[in-house]
Amino acid sequence: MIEFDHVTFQYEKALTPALTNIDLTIDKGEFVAIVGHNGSGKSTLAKHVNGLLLPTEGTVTVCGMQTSNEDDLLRIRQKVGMAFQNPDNQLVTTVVEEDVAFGPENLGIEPNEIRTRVDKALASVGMSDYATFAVHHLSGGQKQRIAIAGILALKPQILVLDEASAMLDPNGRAELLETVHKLHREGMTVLMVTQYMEETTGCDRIIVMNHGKIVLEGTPEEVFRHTDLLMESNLVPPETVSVRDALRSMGYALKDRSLTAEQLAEELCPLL
Amino acid sequence: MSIVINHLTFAYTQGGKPLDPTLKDLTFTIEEGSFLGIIGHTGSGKSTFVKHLNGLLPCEKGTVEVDGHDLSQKSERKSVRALVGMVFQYPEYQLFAETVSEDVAFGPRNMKLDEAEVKNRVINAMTMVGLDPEIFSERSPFDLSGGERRRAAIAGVLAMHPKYLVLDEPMAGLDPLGRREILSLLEKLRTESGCTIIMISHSMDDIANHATKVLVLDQGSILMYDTPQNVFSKADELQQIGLSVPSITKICVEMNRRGVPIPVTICTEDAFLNWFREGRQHA
Repeated sequence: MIEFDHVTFQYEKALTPALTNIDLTIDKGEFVAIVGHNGSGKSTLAKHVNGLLLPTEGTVTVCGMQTSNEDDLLRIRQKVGMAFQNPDNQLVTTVVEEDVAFGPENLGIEPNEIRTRVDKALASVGMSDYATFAVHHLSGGQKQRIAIAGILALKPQILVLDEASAMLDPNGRAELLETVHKLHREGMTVLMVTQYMEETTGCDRIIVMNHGKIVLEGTPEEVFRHTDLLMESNLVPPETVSVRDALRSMGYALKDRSLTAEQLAEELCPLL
Repeated sequence: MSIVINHLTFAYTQGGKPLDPTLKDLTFTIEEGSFLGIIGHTGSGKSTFVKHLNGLLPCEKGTVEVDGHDLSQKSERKSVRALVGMVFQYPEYQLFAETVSEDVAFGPRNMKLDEAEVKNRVINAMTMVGLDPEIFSERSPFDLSGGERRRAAIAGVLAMHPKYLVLDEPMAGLDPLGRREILSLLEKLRTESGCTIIMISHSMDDIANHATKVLVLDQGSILMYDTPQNVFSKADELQQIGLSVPSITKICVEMNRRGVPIPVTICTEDAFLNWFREGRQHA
């Protein structure tokens, strides 16, 4: 569904490339998390998926279309919805349902169809009760869910989140993550860029970036087996994982899948 | 010496009329040398409260005394501002000078210190936050990375040698490495310079690992003011007001649910592993 083929990207005036020789395939219906420290290239990678940035070398193919082909760019952007860090920068009107309708209106979709899409999108993010609310009365987490509803109203097949939870409080982050998981269960392909390792434990695949390269890739169980490599990439594994590793070195036979508090307790208690 | 808060109540006004109070009858004392973590749901009054600690918001009802200086007396505010340093959310947005050293020097110069002392303080503050003066002094703040900019902004506050350092979510938006750097800086300030740290944070793990006392605010009132161990052992109460508990506490709660009686006052990795090392004694 998404294919990076030997992608290298260098910002104008930069001394070194932000991405170097990236090969990556993301399948339909996959939930992939991209992690890395500030400046590791993770957001640059995400911005290639809908052609906000174009590769300096190599190609990015989305649903069979190349982002470098200008004629296809509009169609690619209809397939790839993107959510960013600051919720206030993504909302354009003052009332929730008007904001969600903004995208489809711009595409010239007929009013009845827009109504259906808006209702459905708000239901998907659990915000139906807020349709007529003023946007500025919402919390950060609710604003991000409205921004995502606005994306859903365009019926994309791929959702890209570029640190969409970074400015939210813990409740807002939990709400957003739950919404994204629900969309994924309903068939959405998700690419989520994040700094919070604990948000990635429920994904299908984690990609670890450092210095513009993919340094580690695999299921959460596989990736969190390599805490040393994560530390080298200036990342900190979730506290549950570092406790698990310490307990292992004390002789407790814990499995790789002990990633959350509940899983760890489940594995650990029978051993005591 | 300490900060004594006595029956502090505060309401913002709209169109000349007071709204519902944001802070309701707060009474407690922040001990010198402590690391106070302030937690609470968005809108619980955390940021409003800390703005009272150096007179940015007026004490209308109740009092705040910093080392004996009563902030409800306008004449005392200046002395208090020399004692209490404030780091706001996203402080790097407030950098304005052409070079890092000029920016850090702004506060001490305003204090009318002589130029040799200003220079001395700039070098010390930059070294303290890990920005080597030889490399960073002449650079523009806008050429720095996000984490470096944040530390440059904090250096500007440290150069005024505050006795109490107040920080409103100092790690927000930083990556894991940036977060760790700020936290170890705060720990160093407290243990080496005896600076009292007052920090608002959403990260329960960070609070559990660093705070000596935790203040829990709920709708403008104090719900708890206690050690992290005692505060986080009340997981149910915290969840009711929309707060979570540290990862380690979560594990302990789950273990108790499965019949293993590990004390739920354990909230750090060290304490958790010690419980295993010391033969898993119940309480």
